Amino acid sequence: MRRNFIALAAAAVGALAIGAGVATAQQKLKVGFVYVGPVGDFGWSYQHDEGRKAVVARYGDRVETTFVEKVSEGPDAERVIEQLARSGHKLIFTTSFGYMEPTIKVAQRFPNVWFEHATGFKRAPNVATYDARFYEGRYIIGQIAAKMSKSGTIGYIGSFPIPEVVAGINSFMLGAQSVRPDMKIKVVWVNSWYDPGKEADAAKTLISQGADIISQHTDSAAAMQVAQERGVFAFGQASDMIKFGPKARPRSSTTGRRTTSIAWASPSRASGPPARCGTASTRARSRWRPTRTCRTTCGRWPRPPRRRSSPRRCIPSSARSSARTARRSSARARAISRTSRSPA
Amino acid sequence: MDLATAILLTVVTASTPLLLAAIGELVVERSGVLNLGVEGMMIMGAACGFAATLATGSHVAGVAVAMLAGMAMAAIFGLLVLGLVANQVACGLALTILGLGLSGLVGQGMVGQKIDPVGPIDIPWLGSLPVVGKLVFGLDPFVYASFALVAGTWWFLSRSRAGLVLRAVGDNHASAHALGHDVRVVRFAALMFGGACAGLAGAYVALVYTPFWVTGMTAGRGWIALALVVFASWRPWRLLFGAYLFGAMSIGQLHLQAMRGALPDFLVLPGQFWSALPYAATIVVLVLMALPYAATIVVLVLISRSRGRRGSEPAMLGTPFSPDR
Repeated sequence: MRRNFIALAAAAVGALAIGAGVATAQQKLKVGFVYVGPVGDFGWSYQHDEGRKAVVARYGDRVETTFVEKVSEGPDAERVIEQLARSGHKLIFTTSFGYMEPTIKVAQRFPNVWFEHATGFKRAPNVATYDARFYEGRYIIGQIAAKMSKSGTIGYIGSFPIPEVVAGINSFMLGAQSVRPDMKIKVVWVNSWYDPGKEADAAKTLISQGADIISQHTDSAAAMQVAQERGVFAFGQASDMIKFGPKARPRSSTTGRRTTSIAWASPSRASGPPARCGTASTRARSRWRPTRTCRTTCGRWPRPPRRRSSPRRCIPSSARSSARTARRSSARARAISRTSRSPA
Repeated sequence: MDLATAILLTVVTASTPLLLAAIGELVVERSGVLNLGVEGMMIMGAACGFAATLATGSHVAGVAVAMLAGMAMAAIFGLLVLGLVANQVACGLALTILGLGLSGLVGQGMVGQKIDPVGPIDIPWLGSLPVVGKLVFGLDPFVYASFALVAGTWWFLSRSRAGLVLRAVGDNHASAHALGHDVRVVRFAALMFGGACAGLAGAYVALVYTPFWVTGMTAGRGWIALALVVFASWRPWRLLFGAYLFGAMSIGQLHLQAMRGALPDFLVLPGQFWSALPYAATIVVLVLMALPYAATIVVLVLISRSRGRRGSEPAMLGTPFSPDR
């Protein structure tokens, strides 16, 4: 999953380097990153920054990277993106859904700058979008949740009702109900990507209303910690959050069963939930169009689950967004996806 | 633990950091200084308090260090606005930015580390009473401290001589100066109190509310505390009410959202309704999410209106003072 964003970033950087021509190869490519949270959130922005570091590690002094963290979605984002574009950045990653409009606006003003926007649905000649099929992973964790739940109620902490989040909830629900048709899911929106206190409150709310599995689409590990404390299972998001709910914790119930928090290293470019690799079908390509390749893995389990937990590769269809390199890598991607198709 | 108790306990944890930070800012503003750096002092309190607890394993040390960190931040602010007569708004904003950045630096190696949270106090037989046991006698020490602070602040401001001096400084610093009171000393003392309270609020966030460290974990609570002070028209008891109203609303809306799913079972409506539901639900959710802010503002504005305007805003709020001019 980490590799997903890294691969994307590397591909994008590589593509630009080729595009710029060998003559200018000595010149550094300036790459800008705009993060929605702090890089220390241990979630979405953290993983994006891991991707940035990987680009630096791979391309060394051929690239120069800049990141701006905690940029709120809206007019502030436009200012930051424009500043990056003005200060000579030729490739800019805008890493949150809410940066969509600002990115498009700035991209119109700077036709020679390339933009990569995360999870959006608007594109332009110099704006590509990238996304992973997080919903596929959510389907799987929905199935796991249904198998592990005793109360039949799952709590889900949502951030904002945007396509990416709603798709995740629906897919989680479908996954759960494919195992147990009577599974119920309670959704609570916290109206924030990152507010540890509120996420903890939401988790407490859901647990006190009968949920015994917590899943989240917010970026901090607060909910994991509440789950650990209350002895219920939880799925982390965006990054491997296992350290926040690591230990199997003896429950005082008579069964003597040990409960464990499960962390999924889930959605982010860099790391995603275990996706159903084989199903990267051509059908979805027309409407989803993830850019180039993506890889998703799942996090470590405290104890191995019944299903396989080894990192799996998911290479969904490629985007037609930018130029030849993309097409070339897409052919490769399709080839790989065919070979790695697994009987999920 | 039944649902009502669970809700009320969550409300208490959500309200306490707001109350702690706001009561300090209330005293600061009553002395005539506007410190917009509450968020910065709070996050520094959270970072340093967590670091100290991590290093020593002692919660007391954590709380002490958090309060000292808040006071240190307030001292920087005091030096600028009282000593150098700098602009209070600009310095306050700078203090917030400084605190957010500095706390990230302090907490660099602490992300993902764990501490034992401060638990509720344990009173031998009172704690096991049926309803009040958990709600009244089973809270964490911070909560009792916050109530004591509100009561103490009320007594100090309205019943003590020192409080009278502080209010005089806040309402007319020139007269207070003419009477021989040292305006800057009084204000600096108020700032220290405000810093300690903000640090304590930060400690609450990092040691009780969400017992881990991540950058920016206070997530704007300092700003809400600031707003509460204004809407409580600078009165301690109204502040208590406002903080708990806000906490209750923010927890209440989460519970309402979670219960929403139970409704459709007994509602039979045409298909068009269900297809429109996601949109309707989105609107409902957005309204619910704005509820804590809206309700708190409306109620507190109504209260301050009905009681008239007597003595609400400190007259010298935000006005710089220099004894030489």
